[in-house]
Amino acid sequence: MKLPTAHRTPLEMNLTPLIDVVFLLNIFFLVAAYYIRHEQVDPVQLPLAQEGVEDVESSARVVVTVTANGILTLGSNVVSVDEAVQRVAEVHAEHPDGAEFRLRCDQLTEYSAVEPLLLGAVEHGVTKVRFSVLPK
Amino acid sequence: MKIPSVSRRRAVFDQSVMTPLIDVVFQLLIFFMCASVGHIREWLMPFDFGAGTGIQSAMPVEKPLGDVWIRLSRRNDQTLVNIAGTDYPEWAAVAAVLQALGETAAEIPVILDIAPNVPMQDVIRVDDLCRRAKFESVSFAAGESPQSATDPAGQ
Repeated sequence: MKLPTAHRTPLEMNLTPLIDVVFLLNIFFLVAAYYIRHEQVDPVQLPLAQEGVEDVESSARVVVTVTANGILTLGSNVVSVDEAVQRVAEVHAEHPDGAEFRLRCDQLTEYSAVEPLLLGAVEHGVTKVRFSVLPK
Repeated sequence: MKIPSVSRRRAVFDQSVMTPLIDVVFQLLIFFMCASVGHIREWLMPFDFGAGTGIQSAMPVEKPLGDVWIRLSRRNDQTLVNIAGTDYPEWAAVAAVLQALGETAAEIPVILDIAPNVPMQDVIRVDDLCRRAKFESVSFAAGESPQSATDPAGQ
């Protein structure tokens, strides 16, 4: 009887399935995070404008979304005006360049829901206020 | 010992290296396609407010050309724009007046006095028209009367 030799088929490590699985997991978490984020945040229809400027990276940024009903959300959490202003003031105090206060308002949001935020931010020394818009 | 020929070595190289490379390239393609889906590019309307408490200073600042007050109010579910005492119900007329003012003297500070029930789309629209007319300073008023305007809270 002829016995097979031990070194007939050399052992090779195939990285292809590993790479496939890693990237599929990556895509899975990306898609899952996208849907989770969009479930938690109330959608807003941003105002339209022609003279908007491109987004510039800021070291410290606080983004507050104001829905058409005047509900404020900060990082997918519903907050009050005082809590939003307090958060902006904290971030502003932590960074020497100051915080950027970005407001994402719905087209139908009444100014009465935004004015207290502006006044509170200015009272705490926040000078950089940005309104998010969509290009017309 | 038998040394494999050049063609044999090339075949082994192609099979073992090219397949993972193609896999990775296609996975990266799918990754970036998924990342870009649903991403809406936003613009910003920047306001650089002057530091302070928003209270007008006791000493009045001399403004040779004065300032332009734009009052936004809401009537019959429509936003009414009042520029320097004159009502303009149509947005085209508002744009024309602001454009003419901007061409005449863009250094005149513009102050927006906005009623509480005015929607933000109209607030942004007026600010957008002011920027298009090249006004150098657009401020928000903190109250109803001109005496309660915030000190420079402009672009």
